[in-house]
Amino acid sequence: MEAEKRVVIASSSQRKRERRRIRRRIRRNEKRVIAPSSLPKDVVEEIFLRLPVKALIRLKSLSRQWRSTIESRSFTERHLKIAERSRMDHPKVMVVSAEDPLKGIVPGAGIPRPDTNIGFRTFCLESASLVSFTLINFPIGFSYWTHVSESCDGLFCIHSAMTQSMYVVNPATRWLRQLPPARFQILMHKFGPTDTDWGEMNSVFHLAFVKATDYKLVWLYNSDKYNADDSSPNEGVTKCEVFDFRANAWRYLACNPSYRIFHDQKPAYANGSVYWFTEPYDGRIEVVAFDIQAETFRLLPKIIPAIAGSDPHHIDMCALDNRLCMSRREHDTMIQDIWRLKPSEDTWEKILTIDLLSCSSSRTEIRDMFNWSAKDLVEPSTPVAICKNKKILLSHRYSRGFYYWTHVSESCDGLFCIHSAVTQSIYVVNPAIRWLRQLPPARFQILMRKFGPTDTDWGEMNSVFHLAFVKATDYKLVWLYNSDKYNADDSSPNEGVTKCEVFDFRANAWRYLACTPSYRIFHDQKPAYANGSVYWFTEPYDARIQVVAFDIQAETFRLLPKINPAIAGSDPRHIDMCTLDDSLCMSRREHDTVIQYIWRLEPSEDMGKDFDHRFAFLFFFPDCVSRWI
Amino acid sequence: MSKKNIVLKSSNGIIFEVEEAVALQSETIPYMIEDDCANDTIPLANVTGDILALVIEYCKKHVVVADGDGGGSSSSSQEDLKNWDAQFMNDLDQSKIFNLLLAADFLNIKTLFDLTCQFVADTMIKGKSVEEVRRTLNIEKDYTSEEEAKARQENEWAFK
Repeated sequence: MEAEKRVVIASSSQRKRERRRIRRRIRRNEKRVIAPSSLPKDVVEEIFLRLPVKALIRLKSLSRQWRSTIESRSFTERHLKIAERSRMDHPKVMVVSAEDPLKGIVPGAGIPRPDTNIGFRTFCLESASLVSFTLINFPIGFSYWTHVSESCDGLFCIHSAMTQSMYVVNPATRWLRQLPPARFQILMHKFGPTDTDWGEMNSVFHLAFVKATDYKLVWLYNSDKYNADDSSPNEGVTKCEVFDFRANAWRYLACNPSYRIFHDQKPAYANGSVYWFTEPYDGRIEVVAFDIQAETFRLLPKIIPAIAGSDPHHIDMCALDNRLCMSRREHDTMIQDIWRLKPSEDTWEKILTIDLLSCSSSRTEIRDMFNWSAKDLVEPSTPVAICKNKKILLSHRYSRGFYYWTHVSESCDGLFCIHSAVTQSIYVVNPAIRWLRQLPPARFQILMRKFGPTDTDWGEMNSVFHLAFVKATDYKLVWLYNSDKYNADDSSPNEGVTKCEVFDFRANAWRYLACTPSYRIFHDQKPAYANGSVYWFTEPYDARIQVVAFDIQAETFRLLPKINPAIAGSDPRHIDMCTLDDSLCMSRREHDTVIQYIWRLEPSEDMGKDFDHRFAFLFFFPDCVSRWI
Repeated sequence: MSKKNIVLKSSNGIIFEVEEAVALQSETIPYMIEDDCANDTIPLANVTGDILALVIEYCKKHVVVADGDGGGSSSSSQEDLKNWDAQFMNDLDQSKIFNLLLAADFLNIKTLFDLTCQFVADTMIKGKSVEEVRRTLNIEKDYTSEEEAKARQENEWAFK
């Protein structure tokens, strides 16, 4: 035990230096009579190293001496090291978003006005709260697909396709530096791409921001007609440009070996290398690795067969704890496996299996032009980080937010009800044990089929797609929807403008329930289920939204006595209901500030207290650029 | 099995006898033993008795945990220790904290030094005005008023 502690200092010269330091300290402290409020400069420096950036920037006005200390390279590097350590203990996430909600809506304007204001929001994952919000103005704006690199020491590289503007930014200090455009950006502009061309150019939008001795940007893309360039080494089917911050210039790098990379991916950066998936060659995907220090390319010697043989749309790469990881989503089972590469590069270990069906995603379908229900059919979720509490943080590029998935078993009932509009199929499923039961179609599903809806009709039927799966003594399905031509039915009690069907699992049958009071419900929402009741928003009546509550046990309807005025007066598309800790919560997004407020209903049903947390989600970017920092 | 004890003497002559494992959390004390600073009693000429008592209290608390688990300590004991640290620091006044910081620096006890620095940073510096920080840390202003105003203006956002 004691021997171990003594071996802390390795070499004898280090040891001598350490002893001299200690003697100096001893002498210093012996001579000094310590005033209780005075600390030596090296100790004060140690204190300052543990401050957040904003406080440090204020302290630059302490004195000339402190200003130069705080700005010195050695101080900055030591500060970064300590900040990285605390990042492990208190994980944070950065959400980057354009802050001009009106862009593109200007009528008659050909090209949308570039975004010049970008917001950087830092979230603390432990408390799910907004830690900081910084709005930074980029004089030359971004337009058309703004891309943000992964962070490198808290720095981000931002660029957009249609403008040539490109910046490196440190949101913590508000420092930014404009970079000259890469060679291919200039060529792209000369080529004068049409909208269709832009759409096809998607191999060129993701660069890697890395650090060897110095920082570098690495941009690997497929050779194409719009980036043909005589001055490039052009040995293969890809081109690579590297940006040196010292030289402030881009240079080409020979790509050898050269394999066309898959067009829609972000490179992963782990352990001194950057990685890209190739397009499938003979049905096999390879991984190109780029050594940042040596600036050489190679293929990874070993890839998991399941990855190599997959559709590239279903796989993903990322770095977790500075190690390369790959994940693959099984199309049918919605199970996502994640593997991690051992440093020897000869073995992949499976570190996680995620049941995507058990991941919540609270948003309703087809809002903001995006089909939320199909999001997991489009692409797998990308792991962002493994947190200390054994939770893994996943980011989905279309989810515009994050969700936690825990692989410690959860206590909820874990059953889901799945159904689709066009077919009459409806199932209850327990993904954990792969159990499922087919249910007979609801009355309105049968009626809808008889009605023979056109595509336009389907589009208008959106009040009927969300049912509530609840439990009183037994499980029940509760399906409340607006009365409409396509579900007209003589056998229904038909007392109001809505109909309600309830499914009894024992009887294995649907039955109508009289709706009193009856208010047309807002067409695009999922009902919330909390504390023995199911809740729906109504359409605005006299510009006021009500909330219909259904008592699951008594099977009676009523209106909630009190709703927060901000919710009641809002556009129903800007509000949402959900359940947190079995309490009903409502949220409203402020259109201009992009701040989303969340209220929780107290058991007394006196809605109106501010819920502690304020969340802000990303609303304007088609591509989620939320990044781990 | 008899455990070896080490005797520490504060600047004002107060004697503390502690187990070796407790004392060896300080990376300075081994050198003092090697250097024959003392054969049986190690004089700490710049740590007063009340501060040394705090240091020993901290080291005793932390040696038990480091011992008891034979490697990775359980998260609950980690959590307990964190709470204990927070309470320990909260009970001290500014002069004690500064002297504890100096003692941790001199005795080279890394975790205590980290803890104290972070506590000072969080409670005495972070939310304070520049003027308050100058007073707390006895820092002399070498800026002229214009220079200070200019330095402040350059980073106006940080003061909001």
